[in-house]
Amino acid sequence: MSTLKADTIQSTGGGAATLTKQRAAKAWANFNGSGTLAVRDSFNVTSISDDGTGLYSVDFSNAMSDGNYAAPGCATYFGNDSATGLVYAMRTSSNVYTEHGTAGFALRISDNNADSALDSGSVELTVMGDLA
Amino acid sequence: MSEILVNKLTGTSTAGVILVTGEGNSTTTNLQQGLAKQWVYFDMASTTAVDSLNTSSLTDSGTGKFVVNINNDFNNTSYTVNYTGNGYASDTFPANVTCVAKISYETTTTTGLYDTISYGSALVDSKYNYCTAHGDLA
Repeated sequence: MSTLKADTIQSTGGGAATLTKQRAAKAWANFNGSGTLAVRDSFNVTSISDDGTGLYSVDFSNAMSDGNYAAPGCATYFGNDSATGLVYAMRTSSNVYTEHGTAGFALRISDNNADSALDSGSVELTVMGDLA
Repeated sequence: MSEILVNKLTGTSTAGVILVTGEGNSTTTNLQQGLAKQWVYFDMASTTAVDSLNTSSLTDSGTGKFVVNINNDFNNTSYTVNYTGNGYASDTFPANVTCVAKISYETTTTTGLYDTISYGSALVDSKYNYCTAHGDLA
């Protein structure tokens, strides 16, 4: 097997190199949003804010190029495998971010039956798209 | 276009850290941290995955509940799982669809598996189940 050792890979013009058939996530996070918010682990996330019950904002370390990225995620009752579950959704908050900002985004966790906002003990998200 | 043909990339400073320049040419991103370390597409009617990466097996743990067993484990339980399903046994969606992963997170201490649950008005063996996991491998 041949091995290429390098710390940084760029195109010959100094820009982004093409990785054949590969697209990497640009950010991800796993956090406890119940009680005092605690980020368990993350990548390219500088902070996550608790904006109220079931409401959170995610800040990127390195911004995205536009708001057209995808940010799928899911949330669970902490340690609870009941049939009801929580819904992860984007939200618009005029005093935090418009939905899908380049510097971050805001999300809402709610009960799937009652649509009431709820704190989640485990919110997990991934961001796919282009960096600025 | 210049092209390098190689089978393995390794960082010179740290073997597991290779930076690639972002699309906007102004920042770099850690290639390894961005790569999905495990993914699986499965139908809860079967314990055989339709397609997968780094998935050793699937375990049916009850109606609407599956365990995804990871081949090469993560190095902690703080990895991120995104799970989407249709909450129905066929090609449609019911009301109140919920699909969650790592439902036993609080009591799950192993780095080699996670739980999924599919709920569409009731627990149901969902037809389309997609999971991706990001984090640090052991």
